[in-house]
Amino acid sequence: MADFGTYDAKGWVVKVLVSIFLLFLIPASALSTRELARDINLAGKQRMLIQRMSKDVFMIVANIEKERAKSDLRKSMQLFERRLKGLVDGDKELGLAPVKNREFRAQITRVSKLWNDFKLCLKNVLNNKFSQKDMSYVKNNNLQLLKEMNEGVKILVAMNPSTKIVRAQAINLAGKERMLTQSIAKNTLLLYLDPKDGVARQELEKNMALFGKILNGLIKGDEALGLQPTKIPWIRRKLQKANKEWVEFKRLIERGDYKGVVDYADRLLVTMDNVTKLYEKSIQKEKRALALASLVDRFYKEKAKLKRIINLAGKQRMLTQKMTKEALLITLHIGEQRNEAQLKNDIELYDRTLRGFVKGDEELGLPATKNLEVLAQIKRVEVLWEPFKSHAHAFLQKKEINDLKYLLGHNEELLKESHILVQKFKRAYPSEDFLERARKEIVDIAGRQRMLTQKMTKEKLLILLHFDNVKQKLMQTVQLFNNSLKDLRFGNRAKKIIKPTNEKVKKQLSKVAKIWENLKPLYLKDKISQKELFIIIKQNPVLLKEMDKAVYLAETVVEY
Amino acid sequence: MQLLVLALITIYTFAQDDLLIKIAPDISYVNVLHHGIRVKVMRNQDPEHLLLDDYSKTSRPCPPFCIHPIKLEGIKTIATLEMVKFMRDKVNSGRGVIVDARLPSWYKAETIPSAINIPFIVFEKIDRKKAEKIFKLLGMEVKNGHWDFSHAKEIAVFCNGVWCDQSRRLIKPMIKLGYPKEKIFWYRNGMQGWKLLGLTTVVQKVNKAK
Repeated sequence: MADFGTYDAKGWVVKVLVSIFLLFLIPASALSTRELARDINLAGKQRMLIQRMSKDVFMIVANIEKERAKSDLRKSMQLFERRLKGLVDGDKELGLAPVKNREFRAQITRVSKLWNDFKLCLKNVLNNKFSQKDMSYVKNNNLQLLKEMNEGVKILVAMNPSTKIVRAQAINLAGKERMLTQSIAKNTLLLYLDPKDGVARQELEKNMALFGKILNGLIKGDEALGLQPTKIPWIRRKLQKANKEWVEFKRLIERGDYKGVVDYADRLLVTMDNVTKLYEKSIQKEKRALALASLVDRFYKEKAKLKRIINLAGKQRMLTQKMTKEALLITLHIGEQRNEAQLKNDIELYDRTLRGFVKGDEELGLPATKNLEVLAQIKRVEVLWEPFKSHAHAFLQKKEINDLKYLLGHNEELLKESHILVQKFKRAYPSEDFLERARKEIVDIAGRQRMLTQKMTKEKLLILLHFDNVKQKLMQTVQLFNNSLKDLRFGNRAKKIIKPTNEKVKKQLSKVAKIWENLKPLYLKDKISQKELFIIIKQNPVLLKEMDKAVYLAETVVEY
Repeated sequence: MQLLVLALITIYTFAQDDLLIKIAPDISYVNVLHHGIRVKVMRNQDPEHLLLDDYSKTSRPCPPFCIHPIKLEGIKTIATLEMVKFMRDKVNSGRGVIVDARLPSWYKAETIPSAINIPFIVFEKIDRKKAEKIFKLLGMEVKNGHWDFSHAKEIAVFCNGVWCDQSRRLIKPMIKLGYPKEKIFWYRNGMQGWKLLGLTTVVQKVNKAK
């Protein structure tokens, strides 16, 4: 048998909603998550370039692959400067969106100032005009430049609109690993040039420890670094590759193979760069999926409103009968207080739904109606409803027989017009195929059953009050309920009602049928005892409730 | 808010080569992400396992639930193995998306791992503005006011099974609006075909009457 593991997705839903909510909170000028992820990655890459340029300087000084180092240095300088400008002004080609954040811009100004002096030394190195002073400047100031650039990256990470997207930190730190590869190579070169350079040794050890810690954190998670374990298989695979390369890199450092270190640093740099890009891409992918889900959900809800309208329009029919039944029960002093409260609620609900059809009601899930034919029918219902409502209120206050008479005399007229409104709604939104038409029909018929439960009880009460002319009507109501329930349960080809196959729908309709089986003889019985009357009164709301559940299922669980 | 439950149907956590029932001789399982959660897609390892739910039904009334032909709108029809490979190669690399064309209640009740839900009715009589928004999230670009599908993702669409027309009702308007036929695949066997082979599914929510 299958083992069903469970996962509480509530948190995920909250995450989605929070993300969507936050998306709307971001001002128009703010960066999208995609842009921000890209900016974090490229700003992070600047740190690496600082170390790479420093490393190239020392390669040139140490006369190790001098020409290649020069070429690299030239490219790195150009790229660093272009990106620095791009982070402030934007650079489409590089995929950089301008960052408007004041704090970030001020930080970039600080970086630019340091960069201008740093650049002069680098130019001297390129032009073979460098002095010991230039080399010392690079050696002493590359870390300051790196520190200021790192502050900039931190500001970008903090700008992340959703703290739930923890991978922003992963982009930052995976990106930082690129810088560390270059810094490690740089310090290895410095130690080659001066084995007694204590600062370089200290920095090398510190950066090696940091590289290992970050890599481990990216794989297994590290609370102190704000990293969660990476579970995405393809990123994990790349991280494992980086880990293998890191073992080899460490071996070269320990052996003091400075040339091997320089070469291998670039290899590890490429791997870590790929990891960073994958993190960046994964954020974009997730955001896109969330945006698509939210968009589709919005469009779907707009489409699904039709069945909701038919359900609620159908419910109005039931309310006309329920209100009349409640007025009768109050008159007969049966459950007076409860029925008074219910009548009050039902008046409000009918009134609110009717207004909702015209103006829309988000809570009820109703859009404003624009169809002129429907609006004209709503007007006709309103003409009947307004006096009906006044008399119902008056009856609640004074319990006068004249108000009751009005309700008894006009409820079926209101029912008739409410029923026409359901049909007008159906016609206003024509369905495209057999299946859709059948589904609307089922919601309508199941909805009508709710009304019939109330109508038959009202009629039974009227018979008890000696309105003998209602007997025939009651027979018809009972028959209609009976036949419709049969159609809903077993299908009716002529009426285009599909036999349900969904177990939940079938079960719910069987439940209704079971209640009905016990109630039907009581409705049809000429004379009933007080005990039997109380069974009807007690079971009628149960029948209505269970029928309402069946309507809900017809509305939401679509057969396919 | 209604509590959603995601159940990942995995049976035994055997090592790749130790599985008794593989997907193909060279494929034991495939890992994918579903709503950010890693899901191991494999086959039920119980050789006695039988389907007992709605997907074991054989005789839905026709019409409307008639058997659909193998060809649909001139697009490529794929079978279960191709679907698994699509998941492994296209979905995991970000080049493809699996689309569940059924209504949200069905999608939440049970779906194929990594699938996103685009209910077919969303595309019925859809206007270009709305379609553009959806297509953009599927990788389409607007260049000089024209829709450019060069970087649009490949999609594999499915619904309930060979009797189900929801895929067709999604695919048809998509093609009409310009989504390239060669980027659409139809997994005709749908949920029934997937479940019949005991492949992992994800469950988010069980439909309940209020």
